[in-house]
Amino acid sequence: MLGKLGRWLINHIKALLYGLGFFFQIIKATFGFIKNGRVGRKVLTMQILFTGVQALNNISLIAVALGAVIIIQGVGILPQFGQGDLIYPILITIITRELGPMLCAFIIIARSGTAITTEIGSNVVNHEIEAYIATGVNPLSYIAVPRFIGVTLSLLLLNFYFNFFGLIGSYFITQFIYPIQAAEYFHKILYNLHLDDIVSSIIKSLVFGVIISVVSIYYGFQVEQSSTEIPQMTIKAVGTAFVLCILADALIVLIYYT
Amino acid sequence: MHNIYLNNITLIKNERKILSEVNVHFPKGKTSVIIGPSGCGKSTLLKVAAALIPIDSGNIFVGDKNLFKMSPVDLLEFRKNSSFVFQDAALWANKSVYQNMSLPLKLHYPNMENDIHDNKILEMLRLVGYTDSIDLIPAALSNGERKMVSLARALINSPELIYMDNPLVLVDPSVAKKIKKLIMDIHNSNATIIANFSSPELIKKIADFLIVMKDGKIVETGDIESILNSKNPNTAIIISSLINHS
Repeated sequence: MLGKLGRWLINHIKALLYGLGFFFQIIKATFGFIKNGRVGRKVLTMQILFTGVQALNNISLIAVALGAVIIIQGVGILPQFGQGDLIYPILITIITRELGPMLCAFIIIARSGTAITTEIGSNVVNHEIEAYIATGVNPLSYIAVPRFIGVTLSLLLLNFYFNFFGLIGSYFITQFIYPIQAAEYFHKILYNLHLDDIVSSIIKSLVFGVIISVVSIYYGFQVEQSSTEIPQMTIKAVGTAFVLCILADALIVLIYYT
Repeated sequence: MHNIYLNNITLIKNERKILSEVNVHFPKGKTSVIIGPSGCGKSTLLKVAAALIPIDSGNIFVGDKNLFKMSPVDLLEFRKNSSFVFQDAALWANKSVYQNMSLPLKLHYPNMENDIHDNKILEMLRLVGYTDSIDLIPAALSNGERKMVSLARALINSPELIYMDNPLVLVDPSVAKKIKKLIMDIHNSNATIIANFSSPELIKKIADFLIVMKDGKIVETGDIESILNSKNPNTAIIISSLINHS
């Protein structure tokens, strides 16, 4: 029993150290890519297009709907307790601080994280990675780094969109149900929106972007030789990315607000 | 390109020794062919010799330089002067035929003029007998066409060292004939070839040096005459099964 526990612990520590080593290799390769990433620039552009631009429809729709729901619920309930103005800090807490980065991360895990793990896994199985190495292309610089930068930047941009549509777009929707004066609404939103909220949101997006990209790439490269490993690794990547994003969120909140 | 030395190579996968303390050298300018029964580690040895897969212990030397300790510049130079032909073509699936050919050229000759670059690609594709569109992706090609493009990609930088992992497998006789002719031409150009062929006819024609393998170990090495006349019972069985198989 004790032996099993010891082996389990050693294996997990080994996996953690290997994962950290992989992360630092990507960071190191990122500097090389920034200095001389001529060959991988197209891959980066495609990644930003896929992750940042093609997800825009989903993100904006969810943001508008969520913002509208919060306003409608808040305007309906809060005035009954004489706290009608609380709707603005609630809106900012939910959209900017919490659900903006988190929902964007979840959507990116589902869309791009799975795609990255599957694509890299297929590349491994079809010996395309070996073909890159044989040619002289460093797979970390050419495959991993553009996806790492692309997903991280895209998540940051999607979070901006989410905030824009969540805070502004939803206002127009609510006008059909609970008309609020535009001047009053935007004045109070800006009054309640602090630099802290924006910085916290940006930090979360960047951290989630790093987690999603590194985890997805890592599990893609964990595929060894069989195509049946690809869905298994994709499931692991999704599960790990979800858990790590939520843990990171809790940690950031803990550090930031205490 | 220098001689390639593999010293004490061991590779373990899933607690099974795929290669066990392999010591072998591949002479410069010669054609070395690895033979052995299916699953004995021929393809793995080839990939290890090209430093495409990690090993558990041992070293690979190109001349007197350790391949694992080479500077990035030297390693890139080694990759520029060497290439690998994969058993299953291993074309990059999301790239067109043109892009598959262009990447190695652009990587090693970034300042090559566009028309020279494009002409080189077309010339190589013509050489291997590929006549279809260069804008097709690998999924739209037949098996034989993929092999041809894969060979053209491997030859585009005029490498001095070529690794070939059974390029004749899964191709129809007409494509196999073209590939054999191409391999003969490469052999006659004095390039170093390290290969795994299953065709005794081709082995007899071009092999200068044979490496006999069994169960992840080297049984025997030597020139074709000495291997064919070997008294080693394992070698005799492998040679006779190769001839019977064909």
